[in-house]
Amino acid sequence: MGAKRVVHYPARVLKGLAGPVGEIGDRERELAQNLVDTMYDAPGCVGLAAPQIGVPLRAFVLDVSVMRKPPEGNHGLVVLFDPELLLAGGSDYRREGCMSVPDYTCDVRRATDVVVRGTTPDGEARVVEATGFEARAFQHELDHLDGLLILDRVASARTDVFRRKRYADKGQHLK
Amino acid sequence: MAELAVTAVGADRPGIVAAVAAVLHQRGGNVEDSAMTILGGHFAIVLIVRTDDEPEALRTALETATTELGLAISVSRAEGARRPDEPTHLLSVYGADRPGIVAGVTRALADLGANITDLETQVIGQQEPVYAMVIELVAAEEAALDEGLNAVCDDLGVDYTLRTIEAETY
Repeated sequence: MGAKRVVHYPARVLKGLAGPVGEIGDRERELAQNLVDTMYDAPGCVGLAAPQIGVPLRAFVLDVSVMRKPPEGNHGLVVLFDPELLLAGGSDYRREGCMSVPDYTCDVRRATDVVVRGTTPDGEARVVEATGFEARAFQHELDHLDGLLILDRVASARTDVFRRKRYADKGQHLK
Repeated sequence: MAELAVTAVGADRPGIVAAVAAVLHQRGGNVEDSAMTILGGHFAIVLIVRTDDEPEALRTALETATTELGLAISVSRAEGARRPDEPTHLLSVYGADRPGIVAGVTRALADLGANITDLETQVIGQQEPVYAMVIELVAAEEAALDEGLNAVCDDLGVDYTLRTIEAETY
């Protein structure tokens, strides 16, 4: 079993910038396998980034098809090295948790549509278009590679996100 | 009619809000802004009520009506209210739990001229507790604020993220 122990905050590896992977070889493929094994081993886990198993490299895995209600059109298991966010659009709030911050959830605002490019374990370039919850998962994992946790993305002090809306009266301009 | 500030704190159990709200309503008060939430297993109420009641009379009435609930109650005049500014920034501060995080960060914010409009803290987890604080604030100058926060968070050994709040108007 390649399942590793998931690292919890305040471990510093979770707050650093993960380094580029570059060429994909056996070591990188083994890292990918460890990530996949660890993700599937943890109940409720739909994504895992290398820093979460203590490896400060730009790699993550995700699979939202294992959810109780899997989002339509999801890509199943995705393994990417050196991923980049090419496009992000739309916006939505949703409660998120993280294996590295146990016993904590908060509302996080994320884009609803993303295009992500990365390298597969075979060394091929791959572009993925994702929407909804899968898009959210991509952004969550990308954040890990930049040392960002859900604690950095909390949408508001109170959990009531609707405080942010203001309703413009007729004839008045609100800043 | 004047505004009174009412606070009530007690061990959480069903019926607290109903009991307090009943007294205020019966005495002709109108609850305006309020925050009621569970903090560490205690139910805490802070509210502003518009009423003709005198603070002492209202406090006695609340205590009498809620004796079995064992609430600590205070009622005072709420004077000098000014229209709050909309927060400009959201600050997350978090790290391994230790004394001094709230004091250190809020002192730095005050010194930097930032005004806190909302603040929430939470202790996360039991084995290696993490302290998380989220603050909404009004700040004029972001660069100086960020620099100051960097210094104090470094001293305290905590992480932070400062973001501008994007408001949406419908």
